[in-house]
Amino acid sequence: MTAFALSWRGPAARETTEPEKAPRPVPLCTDAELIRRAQQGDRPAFGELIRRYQGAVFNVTLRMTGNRPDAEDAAQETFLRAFRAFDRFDPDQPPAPWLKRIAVNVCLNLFEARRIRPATTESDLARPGTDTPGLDHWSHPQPGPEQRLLHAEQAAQIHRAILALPPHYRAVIELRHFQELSYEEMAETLERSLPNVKSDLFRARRQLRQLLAGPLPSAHER
Amino acid sequence: MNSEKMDMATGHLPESLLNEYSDGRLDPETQAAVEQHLADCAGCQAQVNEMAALFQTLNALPEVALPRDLSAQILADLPPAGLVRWPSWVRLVLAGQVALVLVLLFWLWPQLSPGWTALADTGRVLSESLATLLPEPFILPPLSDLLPGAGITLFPAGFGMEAVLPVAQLALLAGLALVAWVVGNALLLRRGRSLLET
Repeated sequence: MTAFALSWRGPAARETTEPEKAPRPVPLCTDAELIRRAQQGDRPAFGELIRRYQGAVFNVTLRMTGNRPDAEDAAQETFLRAFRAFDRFDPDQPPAPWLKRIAVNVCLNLFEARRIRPATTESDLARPGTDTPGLDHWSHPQPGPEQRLLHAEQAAQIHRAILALPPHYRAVIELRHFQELSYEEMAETLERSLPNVKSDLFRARRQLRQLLAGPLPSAHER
Repeated sequence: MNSEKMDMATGHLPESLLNEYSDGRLDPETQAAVEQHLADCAGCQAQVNEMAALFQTLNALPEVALPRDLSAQILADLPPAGLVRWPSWVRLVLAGQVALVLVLLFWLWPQLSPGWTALADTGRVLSESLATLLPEPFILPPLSDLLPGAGITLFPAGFGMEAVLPVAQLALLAGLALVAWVVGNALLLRRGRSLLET
């Protein structure tokens, strides 16, 4: 087992690199103020909103797509789509849930349009050009390197299991367990009937339990 | 608990019910009945335990750091300020309408009233030129064939057939067409706008 430098990134923390052309800095203000300014055409304000929520959106798209390049593309498309719909968004509502829902639909649209292919097996995750998070990204701040490595392996296994699901099953798992939407909200987000969404969720969970109980499909076993 | 909620063949609760129980979605009465069943059924309790373990596992999945700041690229990809980019199919339909207007123009132009002689001459030349390019099935019949009746005599059509069109019918046709065109485009743009926002 290759040793990795283990580091943990909390849900709200993200590392950013200095862009080549740094946008004009925006004074610190609330999300509602930023949204109102962005709705009036203040693009630096929209840029600040992107920086605040790009990490969360990226994690949604990464869980859905399974590789970093596609996840970044989907995250960018999410913000572009949000920008087009921004003038109808209520500034007093938290933007994160709205952005995450858009992210799920963006990923599903991209799968349907075949612009990106949902990674489903280890061979997909390991294909050249992909940038699947390695074990060093799936770690917890547990004491001891062995504990952290164990948790990292478990997290990687969970991630692979999610990626082994069909896209519409991934979507309901993402919306229910990572975005904590109700059944009704899931149905509204996915524009599907409530019975269909519930059925997908229950089947997705069953499939996940089976995947996590046994070995995940790999290229060698096909 | 009523028999409809239990699988009478196995004596176990359906998976859907156990899922909703695990999600806290049951009404108090049903939830109490489920819990009573779970107290006596090891199989169903095991399923609920598996579900809880799955939920815990998913909740424990940590987040991944974003490798780079995407904001500059996203801002660069935004459309220019003030520019509205409609979905491609909306643009296609609008282009189709422009084409239809041009076709109608070439068709009706030769059939204008005598007061517009100069324009009608030009229209007839254009329509005759167009007629030489089009195969016969695509040559449109004169308007009078579609709307027979007494009325003003229009300028002879470019195809050598006289067009007689009642003014009232022409006005009604034009009015209905205008209303339908305005309503249709309003619905089209509204639908296109809603698609922009999704």
